[in-house]
Amino acid sequence: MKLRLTIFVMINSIFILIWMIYLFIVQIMDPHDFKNVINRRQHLSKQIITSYRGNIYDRNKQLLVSSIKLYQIDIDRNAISKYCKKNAVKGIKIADVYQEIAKIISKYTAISRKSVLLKLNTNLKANAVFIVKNITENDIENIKAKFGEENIPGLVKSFSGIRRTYPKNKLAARLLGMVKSSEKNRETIYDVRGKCGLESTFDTELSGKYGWKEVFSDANNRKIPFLFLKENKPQNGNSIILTIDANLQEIMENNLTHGIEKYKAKNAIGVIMNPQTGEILAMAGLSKEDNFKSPGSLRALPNLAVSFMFEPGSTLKPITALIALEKDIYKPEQKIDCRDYQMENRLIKDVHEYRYLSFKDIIAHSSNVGVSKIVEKIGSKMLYDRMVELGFGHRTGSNLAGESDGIFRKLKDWQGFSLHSISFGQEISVTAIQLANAYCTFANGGNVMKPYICSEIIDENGKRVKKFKPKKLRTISDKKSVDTLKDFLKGVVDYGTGVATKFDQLTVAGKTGTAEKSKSGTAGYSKDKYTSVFAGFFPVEDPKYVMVVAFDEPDFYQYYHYAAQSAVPTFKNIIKNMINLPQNNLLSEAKEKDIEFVKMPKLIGLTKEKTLLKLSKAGINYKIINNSDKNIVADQYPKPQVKFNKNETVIIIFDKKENIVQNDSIDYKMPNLVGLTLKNAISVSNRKKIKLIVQGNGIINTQSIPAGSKIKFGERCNISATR
Amino acid sequence: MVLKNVKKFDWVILLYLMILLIIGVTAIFSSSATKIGDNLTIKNYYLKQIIWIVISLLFMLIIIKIPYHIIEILIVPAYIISLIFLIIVFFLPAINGSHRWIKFGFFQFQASEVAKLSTILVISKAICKQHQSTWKIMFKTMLIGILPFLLILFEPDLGTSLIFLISILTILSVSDVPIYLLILLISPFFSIIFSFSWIYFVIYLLLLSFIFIKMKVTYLIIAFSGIFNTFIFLITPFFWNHLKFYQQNRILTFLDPSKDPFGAGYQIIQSKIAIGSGGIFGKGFLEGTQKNLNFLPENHTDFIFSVIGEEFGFFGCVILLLFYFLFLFRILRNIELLKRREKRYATVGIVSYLSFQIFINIGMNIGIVPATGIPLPFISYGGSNLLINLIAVGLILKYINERSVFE
Repeated sequence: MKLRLTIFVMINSIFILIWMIYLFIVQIMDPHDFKNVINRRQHLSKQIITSYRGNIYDRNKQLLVSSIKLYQIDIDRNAISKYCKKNAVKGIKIADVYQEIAKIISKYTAISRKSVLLKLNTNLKANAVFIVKNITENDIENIKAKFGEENIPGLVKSFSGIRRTYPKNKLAARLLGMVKSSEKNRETIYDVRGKCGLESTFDTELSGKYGWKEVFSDANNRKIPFLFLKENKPQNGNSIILTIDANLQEIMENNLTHGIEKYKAKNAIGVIMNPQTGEILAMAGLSKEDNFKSPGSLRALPNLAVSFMFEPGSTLKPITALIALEKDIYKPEQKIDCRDYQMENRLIKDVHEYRYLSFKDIIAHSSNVGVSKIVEKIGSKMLYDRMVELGFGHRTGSNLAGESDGIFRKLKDWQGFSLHSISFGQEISVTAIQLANAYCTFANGGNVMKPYICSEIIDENGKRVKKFKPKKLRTISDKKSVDTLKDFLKGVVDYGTGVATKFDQLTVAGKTGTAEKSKSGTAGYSKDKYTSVFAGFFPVEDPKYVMVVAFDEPDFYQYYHYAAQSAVPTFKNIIKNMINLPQNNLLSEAKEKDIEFVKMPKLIGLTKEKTLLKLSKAGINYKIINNSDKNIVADQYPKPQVKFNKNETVIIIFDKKENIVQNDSIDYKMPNLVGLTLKNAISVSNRKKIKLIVQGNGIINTQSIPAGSKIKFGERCNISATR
Repeated sequence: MVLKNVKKFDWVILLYLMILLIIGVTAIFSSSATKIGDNLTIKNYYLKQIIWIVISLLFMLIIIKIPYHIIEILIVPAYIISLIFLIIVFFLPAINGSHRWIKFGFFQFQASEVAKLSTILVISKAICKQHQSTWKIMFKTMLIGILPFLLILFEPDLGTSLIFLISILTILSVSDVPIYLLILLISPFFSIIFSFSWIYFVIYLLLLSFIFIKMKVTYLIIAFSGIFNTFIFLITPFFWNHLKFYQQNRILTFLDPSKDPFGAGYQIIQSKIAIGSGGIFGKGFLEGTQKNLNFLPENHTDFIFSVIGEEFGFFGCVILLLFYFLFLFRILRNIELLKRREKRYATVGIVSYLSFQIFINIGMNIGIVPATGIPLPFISYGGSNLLINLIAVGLILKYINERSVFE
């Protein structure tokens, strides 16, 4: 007995010793590195906060591009089963809870109830199942609130990405460009980078810096409010304010789209610039297929206004004329023989043969023969130098993504008739912006400006970070010669090839250009492929706008290949639309001419009955598109508050109520107006067709319709603002 | 030889017991507190534990005070009642897949706790008569032990049934049963373990036979052992399939806890990490992060040792183990002085199951033994367990108190 008892005591002692040794190993020698495990799992971890990418505004601070954060929803099935176990008495079953979740989620997202259930019931071992991503903050808040109401646990929200939103949809799509997010690797920090267009040009300015915040979570992944948690706020990207005027851009794009359809052109390009400063006011380049493409895919396409090269044709003639005027080679009224001009083996001829034309009329009627004769007296060197000074053959410095140099051969590479060809715009390819910039020089009296598109960079609070100022690169001519040239170009519109764009109340100057396209692969020119261009500026006395309109391959067989048939009417139409814009001040002199102007009433959203009543009261002629009694006004031209000639006919477009709501707003939800200035709030709500009833002024502090709630078309919202 | 007829109460054992209980309350206090930053929330587990300690100590006092012959009378009824409890349990709804608990209003207890103690006492009494044949002892032990053992096993409660078996074996081994019989008794368990591969099993069988031959055991018994073990070897796969899924899971995750880090292995891993991160002196009272951050939920019962390991480190663990050792050693040292064999057997049986509970619970906490639902004696939260343990200690104290009484 004694022996066995001793053995028993020994066994017990040995056990205790073994545990002590094992504890020594585990706790002190720590072979599994448990201390580190603890640190890894329980130490403060850093959560990355993605910054917002900056917005892009037009010159009137209308929002063109903005970004919103998107979230993803996961459901923690473990939490739900625990919750069900706890409430088993009340008869809550997991299946019912899943049904409820599916109902809530499918209500606020695009995902169907069935697929939510499918995901919830997946056989994966993981507790958390991914349900849906790219949910806006509004939706997530709604879902969260619903979950709270129903008392369902297990909703896990996490950041999933940033989406760029484009309040103006397709407008300036190619110019603005697109972004791409790098989410291939989940480990890396979420990043959005501009890939083309302005997004790429101003990528460094627009993209912010990510921030982080320390989080401390327990085993159930609940965040624990811990003292002294550090946070490094993300630095949101700066916003840029463009020199682009969204209204002009819209006018331009509408007209170009219309032109492409009418003239069956392949591409259409338009640029509007301010000649005094070099600001780009509108810049559009459209293709035939653009109408059938989604805005998203358009944004990935090149900006034709800076990348597409074409032979400018006769629009280059003013350069020769300018040099001739400077050197006083010909007087404006001097007659020149313009009959077909046979050189050694090349015949230069005009479309219509003129006999003798004055210098001014050579430009007005665009005589190739006349210009050739003038340029012969100038010589290659001078023309070449002047062209280079005007910016041909190299990028303008606008810094726009995808800008091409154009093709302008070095002087030493010029061949036999290069001088003549170049004088009337052959053997040279230019981009629309180069051409526009050259015409800016003519318009502003001989100063070559640096074109620019970004006027200001502001930070997220609206404080100015950087202001871009107009930059004069060089002066190339004297005022007198340029003024004479302007007069020549005015003649083009007054009685020459551009007569179709003549206005009573506005002086316009410009030059047409009809260039045969060179056949690809061969030396010759195509017979039925043309580029039709019109470049001009207005008002002539004090040019405010320079505009270039170019159509690539307009229909040859209906004579639309002539600039006078395609580019010039479009140019005129654009001016017509521009005149109506209130801020342009193009009409100061027009008023003198005794034209009665009326303000366009606001019709959008009204029924047909009311519209007609309003219009007839004001005595306005109208044309109705899509006429039907049930429909309401979807759009109107001119836009509300625009002053226009009373004699003109306005266009009222009707559409079904539902369509309007869908077309006009990105989401049909009440925006958050609190914190905005009154001006911003009005512009936001205008876009969503919400009527604001304002009390006070300053910063908005209340709104009667809560942010995120669904709104109907034309709903009224009371807001109050304080200083 | 004159033995003085003095009653001598062993205050030292009581002192060690009190120290262990205080350690327990401290650990439970820490376990029921959640400290985050300066924010401290405490659940009332420690208060309940203190109340239970007081009640249990009262019971202990009663046990010590009532005359021994009354206890002798009570043993057999207690055994029968505990059997009834074990049977009743089967008709009560299962909690977590097993029928263990009996509920009386607010008070609930495990039927196996009562059965453990009463069976040890009954067996001790049954085999204490001198000059019994070995076979008679074996037969009586089997007869008394098999019923509660099987009932506990099929509750199912593998851990408790194993501890039950071990304490009976210990009793047998300190009685005068030949060693080979004990080996014969244990051999089926090794057969189960070796049943996963027939090669190992054959080697094991040969080794067993060799030991028996060396011990000069009759060939009849060797042959019996061979056949019996082979039978066990063959039947084990069926038995394995009969095991509850979670039991299989427990055994499997025991073999590789990282296999299912969020299932059955979760608590073992968390507890291991908690203890391992404790270091030499621990993170300090109430500062255990595994506990505070809810990585190790429900740690006031079976996983209380991890709280001690995390907050008091190696130092704390060693002190606890040292007190356990001193406590048990002090009792065992006194066994020689007990003149009545039944008292000796009972004491050895109780010490055996206490020490194996300690052994298995700590092993479970440091990830060496599968999670079996065995609490840590005197430390873990739990009223019925504490009550039975203190009654058992009370019995031992009573025996030792009366050790010099002549019969």
